[in-house]
Amino acid sequence: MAAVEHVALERGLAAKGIARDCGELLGYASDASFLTLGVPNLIVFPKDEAECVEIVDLAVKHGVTLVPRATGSSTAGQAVAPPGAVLVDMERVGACDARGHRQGLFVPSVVDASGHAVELKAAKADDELYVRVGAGRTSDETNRALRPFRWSVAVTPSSGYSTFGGNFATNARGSGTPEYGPFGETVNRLRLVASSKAGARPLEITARTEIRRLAGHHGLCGLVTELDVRIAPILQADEMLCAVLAIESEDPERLGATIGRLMKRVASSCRYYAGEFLFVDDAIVRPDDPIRADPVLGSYFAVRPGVRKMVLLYRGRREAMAALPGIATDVPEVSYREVSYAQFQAMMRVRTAATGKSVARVNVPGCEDFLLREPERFGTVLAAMFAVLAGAEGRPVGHHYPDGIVVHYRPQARIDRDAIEKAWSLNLRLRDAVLRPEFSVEDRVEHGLGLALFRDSPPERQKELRALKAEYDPANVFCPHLLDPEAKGRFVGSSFRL
Amino acid sequence: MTEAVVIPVGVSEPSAAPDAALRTLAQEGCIQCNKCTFACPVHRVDVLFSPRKVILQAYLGGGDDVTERDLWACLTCGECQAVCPTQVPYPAFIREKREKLRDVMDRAAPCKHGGFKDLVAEIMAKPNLMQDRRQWIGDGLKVADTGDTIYFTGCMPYLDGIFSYCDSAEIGRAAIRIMNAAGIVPVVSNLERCCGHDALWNGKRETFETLAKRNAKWIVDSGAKRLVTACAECYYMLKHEYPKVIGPWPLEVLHMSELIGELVKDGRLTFAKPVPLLVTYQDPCRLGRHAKEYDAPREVLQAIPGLTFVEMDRVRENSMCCGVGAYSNCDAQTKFMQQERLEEAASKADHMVTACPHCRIHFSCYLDGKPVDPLPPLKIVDLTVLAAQALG
Repeated sequence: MAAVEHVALERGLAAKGIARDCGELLGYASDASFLTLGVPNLIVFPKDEAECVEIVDLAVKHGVTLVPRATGSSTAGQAVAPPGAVLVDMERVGACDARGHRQGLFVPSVVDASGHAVELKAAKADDELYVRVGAGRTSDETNRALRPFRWSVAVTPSSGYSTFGGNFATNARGSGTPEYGPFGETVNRLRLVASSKAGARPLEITARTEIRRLAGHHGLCGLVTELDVRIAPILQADEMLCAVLAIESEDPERLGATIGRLMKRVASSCRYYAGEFLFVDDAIVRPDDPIRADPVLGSYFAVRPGVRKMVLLYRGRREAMAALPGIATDVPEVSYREVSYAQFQAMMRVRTAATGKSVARVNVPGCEDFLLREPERFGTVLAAMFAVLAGAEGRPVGHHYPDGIVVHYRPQARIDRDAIEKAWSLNLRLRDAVLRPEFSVEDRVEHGLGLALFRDSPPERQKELRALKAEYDPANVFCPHLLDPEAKGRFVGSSFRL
Repeated sequence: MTEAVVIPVGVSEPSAAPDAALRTLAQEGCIQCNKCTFACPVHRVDVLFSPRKVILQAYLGGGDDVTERDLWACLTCGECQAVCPTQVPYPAFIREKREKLRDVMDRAAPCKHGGFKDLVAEIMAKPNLMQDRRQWIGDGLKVADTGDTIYFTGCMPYLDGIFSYCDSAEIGRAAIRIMNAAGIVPVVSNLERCCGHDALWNGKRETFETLAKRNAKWIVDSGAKRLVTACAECYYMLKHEYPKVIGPWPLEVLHMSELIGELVKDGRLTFAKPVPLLVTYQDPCRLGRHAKEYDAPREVLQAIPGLTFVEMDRVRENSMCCGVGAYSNCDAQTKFMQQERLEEAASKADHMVTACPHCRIHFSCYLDGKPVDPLPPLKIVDLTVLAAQALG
């Protein structure tokens, strides 16, 4: 792309007073994938929809590619700029004060399903309510604002600092998904700056089917600027059931098969708010971690050599989970214990740490998370996974959703050539041994979907994505490289070399 | 504008011999998740400032690619490290960068108050210094030349000449009054030097180490068993940075809030007089995120009769910085940060308590000047002063 077009674009942005940086941009060369690096020609920081409209107008006029990026910023490489592209940082959109400063504290506007303003103080627990938020807002800050009213965002991804716009772009899952579905299912209204051949095309979308179609668009269709996001009352201690189920075995296949059958029964008999699991080994918490001395929780961290121990954590409304104790009793290998919410949170902290967020270690990305739709196959998959992972750092963890089991695994390494290359080769072995034979691209979820969706999806899915893009982005300014077969080898993160 | 390029990982790998700062980052493992930037208070008011960007740029560029603005705009408040999934020590990275680049990057602009604090540190690093560090104490308060407990005053006695809107010596008098009430006659020594906080965080390691050694000499020679300070910065430096230079202390280092809590618990100190105020608490960065002391100040507030204590929304690890680190980087953007934090405090209480004389100075400075927007009435109070009021 000729530099003259970028100069014209930059001048246009300057004339409108839109924040941007066109200096040394090497620091914007990667997203959280660390897979492929691409230096953008320009980065733009719009603060509201009006500025997004200006940016898209200018991009169409000058034929410049836009790549939206927010805060979580992808472990799959989709927020990296290809040659000649402009990054659009979306984290300020709808989250700034009049001066253009991002405000961490805000008073959320709450509406009902028809979009009418609602006084949250007077709301009833079974009201269907939505918070109207800018795309740059996050569940962390929204929940902070809603907490005094005892409400929270219905689906809260584990990265609470990821923006709602990004949650919609990836159709993220999280706490609340078992009850409310993936993030896209909880959006009731959307504002999107799409393109036309003539320039920007701001749209307001209220048809749920269309919103569902757009959920997971990965930035292909435009810049999301505002959403109505479902909120839910926070469960109080006396109406909540928190349970820890544990199973151990020397045989991962047997363990997985048993727990898979149990999960299937739980999914059909209980409506839970969160279902999480982790594999415990002797090193998962430090020897001096107070949780080891906890009279209730400590026992979960004693693991015999050669044994795999899996811990399941469920949380939900007591009456909706009445069947859980009976299901657990039916499986003699499984221990069942009800715990307080504080104890549940303590276990969740271990679960979060086990995803690889440990000091002095890095997650080596590139290995997609996957959704196992048939829990009875969990044993086979686990056996194959553990065979590959023998001796590696990092532990699989995951979620139990009603439509299947999501497994996350990323090897960990110190940042040095040998350690990272070793971890990366483990990724490849895991792909060959587990992902390729057992899963399709449609089974890959959240973090891994970004580039896999475009690179590996079957022709019918490609066709569907192209149709969606043609409808919303006829000017082809939003991430056109993701559907460009020419870009595959040189950009889409298909290799990792240090 | 640069020509667009795609760099496969490996083509621009980090330099073979990264400098200390880069090594700090690389070894800790930034995953480019952007959480640091999202949490950064400077980024909220200046989108072009981004710790994540600085890290990647340093990583790819070989270590010397920090701009002057990036070098000095960082508050070293540690909000980035507090939210980082891999605990990348960004403040330490910046500190090391400042050490390396200070001589080639002009610090005249960000250095505030005419370089007063820098000068104090340099003067105090000199040998054979004659000081009268007790002149502010006044009548009725007992201090000693020797004893078990040292009261480390910090630069407090020197601040009132510059920051006229704050009676900083008031904090010292309150600290002594509290100790006296508990039967402690603290040592206040004329041999005390600046703790070296600003020198270290502004890249003058040599000055800091000189100060640390000079202070350590008289402190160790005194034979005292404890050292107490009411300053969050002195506390962090003496407790956590000094041992890296002088080795382990033979005495205990306490923040005043910790001492008060202990005295109250032991029954040696009684708060008899109600203090009917509605207060909230500002966690100082050095006491909180850097030294991990969040509870002691809150326990003091809860022990004061008649006081109503309300938390702000962003507290403890997520607390917002007062906007100035080591008397650098106080500019228009600082004022917006302070406005935001004071709005938050004023929405909860009519007094904001802090356990750091410097937070008190910076917020009071803002209130003394022209706030960006009107603020409800709000007073900034030091924790030690407030506790002394409850003595009756």
